[in-house]
Formats: sequence, structure tokens, C-alpha cells
Amino acid sequence: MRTLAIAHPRLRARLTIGRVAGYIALVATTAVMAAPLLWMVSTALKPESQIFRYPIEWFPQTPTLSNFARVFTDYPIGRWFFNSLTVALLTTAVGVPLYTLAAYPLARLNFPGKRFIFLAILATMLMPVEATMVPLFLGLSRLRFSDSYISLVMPVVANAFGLYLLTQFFQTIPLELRDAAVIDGAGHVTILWRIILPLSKPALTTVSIFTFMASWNNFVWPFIVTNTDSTRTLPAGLAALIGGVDVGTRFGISMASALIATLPPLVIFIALERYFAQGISLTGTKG
Amino acid sequence: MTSEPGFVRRMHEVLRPQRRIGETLAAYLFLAPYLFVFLLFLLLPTLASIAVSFTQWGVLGFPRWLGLANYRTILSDPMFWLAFRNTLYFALLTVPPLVAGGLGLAVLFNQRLGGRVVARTVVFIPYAIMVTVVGMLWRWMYNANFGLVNFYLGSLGLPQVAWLTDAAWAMPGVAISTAWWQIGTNMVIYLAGLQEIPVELYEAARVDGAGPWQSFRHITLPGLHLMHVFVVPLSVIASLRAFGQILVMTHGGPLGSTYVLVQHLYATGWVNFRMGEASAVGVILLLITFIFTIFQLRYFRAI
Repeated sequence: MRTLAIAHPRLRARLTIGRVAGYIALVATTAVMAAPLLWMVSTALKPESQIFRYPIEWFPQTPTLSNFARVFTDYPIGRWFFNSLTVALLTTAVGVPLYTLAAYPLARLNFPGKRFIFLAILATMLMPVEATMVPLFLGLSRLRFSDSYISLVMPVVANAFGLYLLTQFFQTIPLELRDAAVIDGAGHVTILWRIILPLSKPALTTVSIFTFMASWNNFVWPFIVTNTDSTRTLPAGLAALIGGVDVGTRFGISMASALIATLPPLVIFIALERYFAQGISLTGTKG
Repeated sequence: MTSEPGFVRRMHEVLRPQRRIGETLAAYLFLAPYLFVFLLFLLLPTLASIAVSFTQWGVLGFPRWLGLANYRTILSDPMFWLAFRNTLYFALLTVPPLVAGGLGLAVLFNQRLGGRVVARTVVFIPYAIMVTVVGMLWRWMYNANFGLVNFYLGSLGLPQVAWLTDAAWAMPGVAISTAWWQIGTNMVIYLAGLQEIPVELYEAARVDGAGPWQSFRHITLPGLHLMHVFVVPLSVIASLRAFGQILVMTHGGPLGSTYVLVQHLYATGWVNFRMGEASAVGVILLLITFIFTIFQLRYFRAI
């Protein structure tokens, strides 16, 4: 497509119209996609008296942080935030090493059962995890784990997406390097540690971000399994107490807490966007 | 130097029997920690959900074997069929715009237009937002009297709608917000696919007198085959699993017009505490997803 701009006069005229249309579409799309986010920021910064104004006002006349202060005094959002952060960090710290270890044989070794294991893992990625919630809940309640970090961390670690991504990455590393190492008598631990891992830093970063985000944004299971503020994560707490249909008409507070919940992943996201794009697209291209 | 490949091959032959046993052992040692978590927290619960679905099980008491009774109860429950129809409706409303829109945006942002990198990031940003926040944000956007959506509809001279409180508009409203949230993911996958289509194909088509539409139809679309195989089933699965944004925006209402399957599972298990029946709903959801996915993979000749 990019080579269409050529010298033919008639073509050029048409392409100029095409380019103008392209710019209009680009600006319109960007505006529509950005509007809800900007509206969230705008509302969060407005004092209550300015929120319900019509016609709407994009810029708060007297910007204030009072909504944020109210969120913290009226709700245990600080605690939920701490829980979300702890659970997401634990999930990443437990998950990524497990995926790394498991991806190595799936990508580089030959052994009986490999195809079966890989297919089983792949199949669970297409499965709605909601179907597993009842037995998981019954089992963890019996073991008195239902309101604990373990019950929040482990089901997300079990998700195979990170393992799948790493397996795909490891397969792209040239075989010759490994063979050379084998001749030198290196064991599998050495190969993984000395050859594959140093070449996989972008991949490990990608998988770490995805694991962190999967945990941070995980909703249905934490909503069900947490009963108290000592383990309740942000998505569960917001849905139960601030955003829900019964309580959520204080839009200043609602948008302030939405912004608090969005800022950390947004910062990570914008700083590391290319890793996301890489990770998501890799699942498609190499699948 | 010339003898080295032969030497390597001989080394492999000499080492083969021990190496294969060693390799298998090493492979399973490396796999063991993950497989342990996988079995305990994913595979076992999946299999157990089938077993539990044949029982009567409260949260505290002991299970009682019921056979297929739970399935009979569910299939004669109008709420289940309402949830089933609503879920299909939601899929119908979200999947086409997510797939076609994702593809359209990818093609647009693949052109050499200034500012496309910023635009791409903006479209992709909602992906980072948690589902609860999506619901909270759009509840405010859709507010009938003071919301942004109705304000701009009004200023464009279009009729204003009581989005989330009108049974006819609640599901389209939820669908639009979901499309806003998810479209960036599909765009990114299609963008990656577009970059793998050789530019020469387009040049050759142009020389042969093909217009932009013909190039799109005969080069771009088939060139993205691998992406379709990935994007379409995943969009369908995501739509069958939708719950969080709906819970926050409408709680399944008004008049049950947005009550979907996962909410039915949740309500059966954690509002009415009928765990066996909830598990059966989960199994049915699993079967629906399975059937849909098989059909799509067949359609794309992926299996």
C-alpha cells in the first residue's frame, strides 16, 4: 500500500483525496477512542457542583483533588491497591520462573508426551476459566484458603499464556548455539541460563508485563473468592462498593477511583507499549 | 575442519540412548513445577466441574449424587435460556465490529500517515484498563441526562437514548463500550500480520491494473489468514465470557435484557448457593465455547 504514491497524474489526484480521507479517519478514530479517558480525568478533577452541568464542560473551572481525598477517606481503596499490587507481583514472581523452566523443554527438547502436553496447555488457553470456578472455590474453601493471597495468585499462575509466549520465543533462538554448547558438555541448566536467557530479555519482559497485567485486571475470580478487605483486590472492591449499579452515582468519586486503578497499568503500558504489541502479535503470527 | 559435521553426527549416534533418557528426564524435571500448578489449579478443577455438575452441593454440606437432574433443571429454567439468548446477542453485536473494525484500523494505521504512531497507542490504551473501570466509566458516559454520549448525539441532531435503563438499548450500549475496550488488541494482531505481506504483491497487482479494493480483497484478506484464525475465535470466546463490565453497568438489567451466561453461573452459585447446578452451567458454557471454536477452526481449515 505504501508504494502507491507514484508519479501518474490521475493516480496522484485520487491518492490525495485518499490521504485526506485517511487523515480524517485517523483524527476521528483517535478522538472517539480518547474521549472516554479524557472525560474520566476531567470528571475526577471536578468539584461535585460542576459534574452535573449541561452543556458539558471539558475543562474543570476549579480543578480539585477533593474526589481523590474522599475516595481514600470513605473507602479502603489504599488497602485494595496494596492487595492488587502484592498479588500481581507475587503472581509474576512465581509465574515467570515456572514458565521459563517449562518453556525450555517444550521449545528445545524431544521427549515422549511433548505434543500431548503442549496441546493440552494450548486447549486450556481457549477455555473459559469461569467453568473451573465452582470446584476451585469448593476446594479452596474446604482448605480454608478461600480468602487468601494463595487463592488469588495460583489460578493466574496456572494460566498458560505466558508459557506459550516463552515457548514461541525460545524456538526462534538458533539451534547451532545450543549444539555448540552440548559439544562443550554443557548441561540443560547451563544452556538455559547461559545461552537462552541472555537472548530472551525482551521476551521475559513481555511475559512479566502480561502476567502482571493479567493479575492486576483479573476480575471474576477475585470478586467471588475475596470476602474481606484484607484480600480484596481493586477490581473486586470497586465493583462491590464504588462502581456498582446500587451505589455508583457519585460520579466524581467513581471517576477518581477509576483513575487511581488505571494509572499504574497505564504508566507501565505507555512506557512498555512495544513489548505488548510484540507479545500480542507473536501469539498470532507463530500460532 | 571438513570432518567436523561428520564428527558431530557420530557423537550424537554414540550418545543417543543415554541422551534420550537423559533428555526425557530433564524435560519432565523442568516441566514439573509448572505442570504441578497447572494440574492442581486448572486441569483438575476443569475435570472436577464435570463431576460436581452431577451432584447437589451447597457450600457447607456434603455432595449428593443427582445424575443429570441439574442439567434438566437448567434446561427448563427460563433464566438460563434468557442468558443464553442474551449471550449470543452480545456476541453478534461485538464480534463483527471487533474483527472488521480491528482490521479496518490496522489497514488505516498501516498507511504512511503522520501521527499514526500516537493514534495507534491511543486505540490500544483501553486494553490496559480493568473491566470494572470500563463499566464505571461507561455508566457515566451513558448517563441519560448528563452523559457525554447523549450530549454529542444531541448536538449532532440525533435522538438521545436512555442507554442503560432502556431494555432495548442496554445491550447495544454494553456492546459499544466493549468494542471500545477490546478493539485495540485485534488491531495490533492485524498490524503485525500486515507487515508480513510482501509489498511486491501489491506492486504486481497495481501493474496488473488492480484497484485498492481488489488489492484488499485478493491480497490483504487472504494474506491475513493466520490472523483471522487467531482473532475470530478469540473474539468469540471473549464475548461468551463477558461479565464484569455488564455487572457494573447494568447488573443484568433492565428487565434481564443484559443477563448473560457467566452472570447466570455466578447467580446460581454465589447468590443462590446451588454449587452443583452452577457447575453444570459452567460445563454448558465450556461445551458452547468448544463447539463454537471447533466450527470456526474447521471453517478456517485450521484443523
